[in-house]
Amino acid sequence: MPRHDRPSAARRAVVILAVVLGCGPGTPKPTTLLVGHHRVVLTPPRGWEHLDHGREQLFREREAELEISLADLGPATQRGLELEIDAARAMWLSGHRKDAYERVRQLHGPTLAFAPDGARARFWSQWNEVAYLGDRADSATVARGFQSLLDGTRDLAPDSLEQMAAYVLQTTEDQPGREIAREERRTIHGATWIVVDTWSAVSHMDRRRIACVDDGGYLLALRMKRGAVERAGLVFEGLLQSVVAEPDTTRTL
Amino acid sequence: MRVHPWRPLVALVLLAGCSADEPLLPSETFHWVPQPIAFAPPPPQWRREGDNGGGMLGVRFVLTGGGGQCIEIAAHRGIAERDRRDVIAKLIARRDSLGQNEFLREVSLARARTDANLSEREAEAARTINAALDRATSEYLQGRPGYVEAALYEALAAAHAYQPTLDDVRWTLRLRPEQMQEPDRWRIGRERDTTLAGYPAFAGDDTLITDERPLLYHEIIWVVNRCAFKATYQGTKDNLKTFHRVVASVRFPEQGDSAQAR
Repeated sequence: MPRHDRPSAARRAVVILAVVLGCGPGTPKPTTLLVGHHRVVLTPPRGWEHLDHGREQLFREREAELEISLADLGPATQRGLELEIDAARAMWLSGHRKDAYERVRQLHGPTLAFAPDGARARFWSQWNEVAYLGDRADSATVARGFQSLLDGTRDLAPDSLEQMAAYVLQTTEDQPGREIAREERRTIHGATWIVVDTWSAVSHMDRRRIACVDDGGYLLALRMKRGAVERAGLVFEGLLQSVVAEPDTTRTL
Repeated sequence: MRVHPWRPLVALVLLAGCSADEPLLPSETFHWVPQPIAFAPPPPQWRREGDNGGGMLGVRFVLTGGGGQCIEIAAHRGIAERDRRDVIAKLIARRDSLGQNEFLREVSLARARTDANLSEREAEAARTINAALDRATSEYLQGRPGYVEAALYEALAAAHAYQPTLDDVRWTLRLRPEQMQEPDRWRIGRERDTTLAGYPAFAGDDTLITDERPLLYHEIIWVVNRCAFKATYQGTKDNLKTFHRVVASVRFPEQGDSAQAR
């Protein structure tokens, strides 16, 4: 081949990068997904399978050796807790008492997980009486229980992105024996994410990555569930850069 | 394009010649035991593996295509776990909030090991700690909290008083041919006390006779803040320089360094 017909190294690099990042011909279009409480626009990785599990969206390489999850991990902050308690109260007011109790029972997230024992005990103290009475609790008692939970959220420590990342790591399987290799904040489409790399504490191998953001009080987390950064890193970054959390107009407080 | 037949050969020779001087990787800090250790790992052709066996926890770098040549840096987990200071201090802090069963259980878990002691000094310290904990249990059951506290503090003082030395751990960590599968393959060579990474160290230069060729087998042992570490090299003379460069990069940072174990 004559020399002048060859694409330059720089041009070839741009083409390769464009293909890897999914900008080449036949690029998948941005898709809007509901991930639990979040309305998210993202560009799924090309050639990967997408499984919609509601609160968790899985992106899986065909051979299933690499897997990335985008999940709603529940209330991220005091505001998220208040929204959840408010939603449970609305359920109770509409006559779904048991569903409302269950929603309260399932309250979780970094705010509660990292609260001091005393603050957590105060948060639950009055509601425990309501739960103990069950169907025998009168409306006034239940209403006071909900109000005590809402008041209790103010007693809990304010949340930080680092705390949220610690919670995401805690809820991600296979974390024992791992340590944080790198942690950084990144602004993507106006939202501040925290991106954390972990690795094996013994060998510093098997590097994996998570990223999370507080989206209107709820925790949106992107996690490498299968595969290490060396293999799934580019796809993870492409996905992360494409995620735009749109405002959910149904949320009120 | 025409490639001269000997060009790949020249490239290979140059590559092989440069490997010993190839830069080490950026320094990494490992938290295998309470005392962290930092060092610059060898270049990428030394494939990394985690190592968790024989009481040691660490990382091994195996030279790709090197016929068993490797560099290993590891900490002795068992020796670090013999330190009773933290567990007794926590017991003192929590004693008022524990029920009777919990307290007795925590006391039993705080006891020092009396088997396979590193030295007579350690065995004596272990006996003193356990005698004080026995007294704490007895006073607890007799309902005398003041005496319980005094006994626990006595156990803590005994735990603080003992600190393993290089001499204590040498017998446990040093190569002993009689413990190896084929003792005749090992030759004990020069042994010396030295200072490396700012701490006293023991170094042994031994030989391993393999079917193909004899290999150098070098060991360096440190004791830093009650934690024992060992660096081992098994390989040819050509690659010994890489081992020396890795050892020269070893540092023992302050405890509570940046990376977080979980």
